[in-house]
Amino acid sequence: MSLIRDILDRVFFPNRDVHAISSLDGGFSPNRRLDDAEIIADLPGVNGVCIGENGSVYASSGNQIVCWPNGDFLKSSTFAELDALVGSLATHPDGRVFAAVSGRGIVALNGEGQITGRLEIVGDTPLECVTAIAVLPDGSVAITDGSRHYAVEGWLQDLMEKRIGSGRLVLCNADLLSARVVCDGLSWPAGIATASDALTLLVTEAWTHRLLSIVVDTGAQTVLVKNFAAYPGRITPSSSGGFWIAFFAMRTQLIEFVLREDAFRNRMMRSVAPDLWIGPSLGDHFDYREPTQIGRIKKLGIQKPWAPPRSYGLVARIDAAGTAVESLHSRVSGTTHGIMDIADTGGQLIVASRGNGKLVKIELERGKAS
Amino acid sequence: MRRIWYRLSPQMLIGELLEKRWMEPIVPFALMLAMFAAFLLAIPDYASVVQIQLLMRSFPEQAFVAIAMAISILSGGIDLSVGAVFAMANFLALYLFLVQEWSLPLVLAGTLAWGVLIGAVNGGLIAYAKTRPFLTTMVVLIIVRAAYNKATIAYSAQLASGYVENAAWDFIGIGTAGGIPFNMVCLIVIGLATHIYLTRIRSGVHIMAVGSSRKAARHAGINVKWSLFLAYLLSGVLASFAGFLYAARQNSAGTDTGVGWEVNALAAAVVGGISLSGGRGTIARAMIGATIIFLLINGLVQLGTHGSLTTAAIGFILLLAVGFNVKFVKHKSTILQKMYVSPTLVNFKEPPSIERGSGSVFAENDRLLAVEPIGLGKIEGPEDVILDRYDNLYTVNRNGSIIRFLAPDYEVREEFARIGGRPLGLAMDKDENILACVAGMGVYGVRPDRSIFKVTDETARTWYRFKDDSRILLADDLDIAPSGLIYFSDASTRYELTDWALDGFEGRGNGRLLCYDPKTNKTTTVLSGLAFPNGVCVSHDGRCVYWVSTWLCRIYRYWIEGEQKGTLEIMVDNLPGYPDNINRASDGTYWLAFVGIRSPAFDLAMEDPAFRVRMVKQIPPDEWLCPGINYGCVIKFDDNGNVLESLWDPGAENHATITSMREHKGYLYIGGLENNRIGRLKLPDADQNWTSWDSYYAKDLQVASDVKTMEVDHVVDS
Repeated sequence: MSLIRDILDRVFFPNRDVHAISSLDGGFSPNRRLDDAEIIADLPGVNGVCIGENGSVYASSGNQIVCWPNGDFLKSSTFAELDALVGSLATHPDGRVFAAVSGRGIVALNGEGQITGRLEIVGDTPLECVTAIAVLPDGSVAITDGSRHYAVEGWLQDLMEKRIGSGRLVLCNADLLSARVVCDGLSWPAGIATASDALTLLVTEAWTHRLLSIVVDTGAQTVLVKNFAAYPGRITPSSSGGFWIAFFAMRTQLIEFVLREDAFRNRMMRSVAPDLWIGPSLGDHFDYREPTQIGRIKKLGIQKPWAPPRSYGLVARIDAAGTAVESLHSRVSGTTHGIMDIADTGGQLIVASRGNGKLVKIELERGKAS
Repeated sequence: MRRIWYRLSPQMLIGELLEKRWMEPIVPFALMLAMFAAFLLAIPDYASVVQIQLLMRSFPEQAFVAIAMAISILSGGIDLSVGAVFAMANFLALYLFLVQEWSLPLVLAGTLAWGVLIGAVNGGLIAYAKTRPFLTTMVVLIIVRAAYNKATIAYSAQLASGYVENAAWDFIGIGTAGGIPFNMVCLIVIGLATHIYLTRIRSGVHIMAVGSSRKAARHAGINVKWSLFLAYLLSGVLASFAGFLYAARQNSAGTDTGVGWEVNALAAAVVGGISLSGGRGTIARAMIGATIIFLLINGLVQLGTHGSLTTAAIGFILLLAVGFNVKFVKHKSTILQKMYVSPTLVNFKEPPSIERGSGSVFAENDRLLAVEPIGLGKIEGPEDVILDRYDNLYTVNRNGSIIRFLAPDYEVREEFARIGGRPLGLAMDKDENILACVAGMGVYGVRPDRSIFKVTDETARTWYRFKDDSRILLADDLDIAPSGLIYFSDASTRYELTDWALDGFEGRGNGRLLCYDPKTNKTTTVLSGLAFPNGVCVSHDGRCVYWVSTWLCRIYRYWIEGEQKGTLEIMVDNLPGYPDNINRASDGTYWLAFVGIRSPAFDLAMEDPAFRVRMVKQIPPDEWLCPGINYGCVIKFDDNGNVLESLWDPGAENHATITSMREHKGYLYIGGLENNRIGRLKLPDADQNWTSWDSYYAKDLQVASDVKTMEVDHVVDS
């Protein structure tokens, strides 16, 4: 019966997710590279990270944006303090920094950290859930708006409510004016990057585990990758070719099952605190009462790395066709979970681990460039 | 209503049924019943006494031939000659009886001798000359058939005109015993005998073994050739006996007698579910298969169906049944796996808060932070710990041994005794023997001189359950009452220790509280239908037994003395964690370990058995939701059911699970089912001389020494 259903699904809905979660092999083969990485800063609640023109590193954490001028990780300074949680960051060639502000939209900050521009509404709909920002080669700014129902912090609720996708891809000019919706109805678009041809954008769609390629002018979508084993988040071009994708949580069979179980899920959402739901986690909170799976029971005090993950750390580099070339993991027993953002300085990869509240640095092997 | 449905759980019943080996032919058996029911509806008076007698009378010969075929198939070959041998035996019996006018026993002997002869030819060729069974028996079939045709034509006139008056012959043919036709009686008796032969008698079992795997049988020292020879011999004898019965009943030898019977017999064996590759199947299955084929042919004939149509129908049903049966046998274990776990409905209330600073007695704190490790990395899964009077520390290891750490610094580790199984709860009796509940084995003891003795490993079987629960499957924790009775829990009768999480996932009352009486050496079931009973502890006054239901998060009190003796009451309900072992504390209260902390999501799942059933079916076991046992803590409660305090290891960094703790001379020793260490915590406010053993036996010791002193005084006086 299920076989027939699967065949029908493949024929009639070729882009729909298959039931099985793909396994972590090939380019996704597990390793410890994230755990072995050098910690450059403890930054609780870290969300976005980006590289400025002169090599400065900016990272958002809570309401703040922290800056390490010239890429020197020994001394940091507070670049700006905003009035709500700051998420994704992006720098403009002219030296400005764009920052996503939860529930507000995005702001443009000049070199001194002062607000010089805002974008808070597109069409009639406020821009409350900016998940990612990318600056296009022509200087215009592309923004993904995850959902119309929740701000960025409500990502888990948005996933578990299983609504029809309400996310948008918005494009505006460098002064954050003349904003227009390129694409609507996306399921929590969580990351954006300019493809190498500069005419299309790569957008990750978290709740459908897909990577889309969207033509800037027409909004036409093509599915590049359709069944990631994890929820894809921000995406950024890699200095060795292709793109880095940060995956903020893993899919598990239990979560997929609960997502199919509407009655149970609704009851759970009504009566249980979100932190204790059966669902993905960034790993940024600990509770004795969180749900456990049989494979996650500790043996002789050891958490097995291959246990079904509640939180996980995963960054992957994909080629232009969407195939994973390499990946960096922090497995279930690891301590670099909930990767929100990555930044490629050319020789180093800076990874923001929300789950463990830290920034880590990985030296990239130049020889590996494809 | 819902509650009753899940409690009785037809699913569990079916699951346990499917586990039974005798359930394997369930498909052919159901088909047989369906066939009978169908003809019952289609043919008037089908179930009348006369009709049934008629059916019973014409069935046995075919069944014998089917059994003959089955035996050859079970031995790993095939005997296609059974139909021809049957026909020839029929002719021979008639010839010897009517033409030669031999006496009846001689006729029977002659006919059976024919079976022995042809069986020996088949068996000799196949077993000793190593010819192929299929070809060999087919050649024999052709030859015997040809001989039969020649013989019947040659003697047809004599047979037709021959007549001998013989009551015994008539009785064999048309007599009944208690309303059952004589040949049917023969079938029942010989069928049973053959079954016993193949399953209980050495040479019969050897035939089955050879059928299963000739190579393995040879390696096991079985005389393969002789076994094969015997199988064909038996097959020939059974077929010829059928011929004898047929002769007595029909008194004729037609040209079509026995034609195609080998095909029917083969069909019967296959429909009955006997594996053509040999070794798998029973006589009962052959009988079921034969019944199906017989009923089908007979019924269709009675309905007036055309002969070719009958054959086609048989072929079609055969195909269907065989196809289904093959699938069923192949997937039975999968079906069983998906059906066996049968969750039940458990309604939880919101538990007391464990939030740090919430003011609740269960609130998280740092009191176990100061725990020092003993045997770190030198012990695997110390589920329970116990200390002797010389302060030596004993614990259990997951490899089945009792490990001892020597006082005073517990640096020296030695294997005290190896019991096997998975030792869990420990207790120490008056003679300082260590008693251990051993999962998978029962209750065992170790004397101070390290010798091991069995206490008990079985109780009475529950008469209404399919599953044999007489063995103690998961002995978990025990304690000794002042009377010497040993109370212990069998946590689950459905799951072994490795599958404990499944038992929790079920939430069903699979466990029981047992009591062993050393005086009578008998074990009795005190309470049954308990959801993972655990933590058995006799109260300080010795009047009641405290135990916990781990999955229902309750502490129970069972009175063993006094006016309330035999009554059970819930003492503490709705604990925020999953309780495990209980042990006495020095201040007259009790320590209780929480093996895990309840999760609201899991509690919610416990209220929804259908959700859990689907989970079991749709996702692999490692991904199933389970009780959260990665974090534990220790609590203390008193005889009135008040929880007094809790001791937490924040984040469970050191002690992931806590399943036991034992107080001894001002220290609390902590064990855990999946831990790699034992913890030791100083209890500054506790009685620094108190030991558990004294708390149980010091009074007796006092009395004993008093008696001794009195005796001494007496001696002095006189």
